[in-house]
Amino acid sequence: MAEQFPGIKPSNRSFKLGGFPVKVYRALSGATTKRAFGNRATGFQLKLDYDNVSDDTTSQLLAHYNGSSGGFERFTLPNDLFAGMSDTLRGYIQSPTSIKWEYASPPEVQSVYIGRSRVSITLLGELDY
Amino acid sequence: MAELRICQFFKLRTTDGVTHRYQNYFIGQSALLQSEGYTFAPFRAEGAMATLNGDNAQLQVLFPHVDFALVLVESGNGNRLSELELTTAWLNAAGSITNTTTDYYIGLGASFNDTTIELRFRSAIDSVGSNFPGRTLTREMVGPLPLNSELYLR
Repeated sequence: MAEQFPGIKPSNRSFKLGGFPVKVYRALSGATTKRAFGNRATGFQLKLDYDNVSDDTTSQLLAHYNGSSGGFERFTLPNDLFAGMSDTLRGYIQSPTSIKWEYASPPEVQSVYIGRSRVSITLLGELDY
Repeated sequence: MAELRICQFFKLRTTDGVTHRYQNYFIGQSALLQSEGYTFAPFRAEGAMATLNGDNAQLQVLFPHVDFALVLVESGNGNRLSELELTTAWLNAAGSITNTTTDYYIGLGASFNDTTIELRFRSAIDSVGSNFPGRTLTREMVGPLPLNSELYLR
C-alpha cells in the first residue's frame, strides 16, 4: 500500500457514492430480476481541485502519484481533505468499509501564472479485501 | 422474488489432504456454512452444470492470479484429482442462508494467464456409456506389452 494522500486542503471537492455489484435481467414482459454479487459498495469517486497552488504544493501532489506507482498502489485519505464536514458525513466518504483509494487517471496540471498552477485529481475508491 | 442474493461456497480438498474453503459474497469477511468458516475470495464459477444426456459436464472456477489461488494449484498437484464441493446458497437481506444446493466435482487441471488462474473440474459422476464397462489392455490378455506406441497386427 502506498503512503497516505498529502494532507493539503483542496479548493473544491466532489464525491460520488459507490454502487453495489448488481446485475439486472429484464424479460420481454418488462419484469426485472436483480442479482447481487456482493454485500459491499464499490466504485466510489472523489474529485479534488487545487486552485492557484504553488509549485511546491504541485510537486508534492505529483510526487504522491509517482510514489503510488501511478495508480497501481492504493492508499488512505487524511482528515485534511474533508475539512468543514461533520464526522458522520466524513465517515461515508473518507473510509467506507473495505475501501482503499487509487488514482482514476494521472493528475492534470494547468499553469495559470508564474509559479502558480491548478491541479485536478480524480480518485477511485475500490474494494480492498 | 425479484431480488436474488446468491453466495457460492467453495470447498476444495487437494491431493495433499488439505481442505481450502472460500466464499465469494461477504467481502472481507468470513461466512459460516454448516459450522465451517469460509473466507472471502473473489472467484467465480461457470460452466454447464448438467445436460439432458447426463454427459460429464465441465466446470471452470476463475480466481485472480494471487498467492492463495496459486497454493490451490501447487498443493493440489496442478488441481488433478482434487475434490470440490460447490454449494450455491440463497441469502435473505440480512445475509442469512435460506436455501442451498451442493454439487460435487473432481479436479481436471489448471491453467494460468497474466491475471487469472482457472481451475477445471468435471462432475464426479458420469453417465453410463455404450462401452460400459470399458476393457483394459492387460498382460494376461495380450502377452508382453510394448514399451513404445508401435503396435503391429499379424
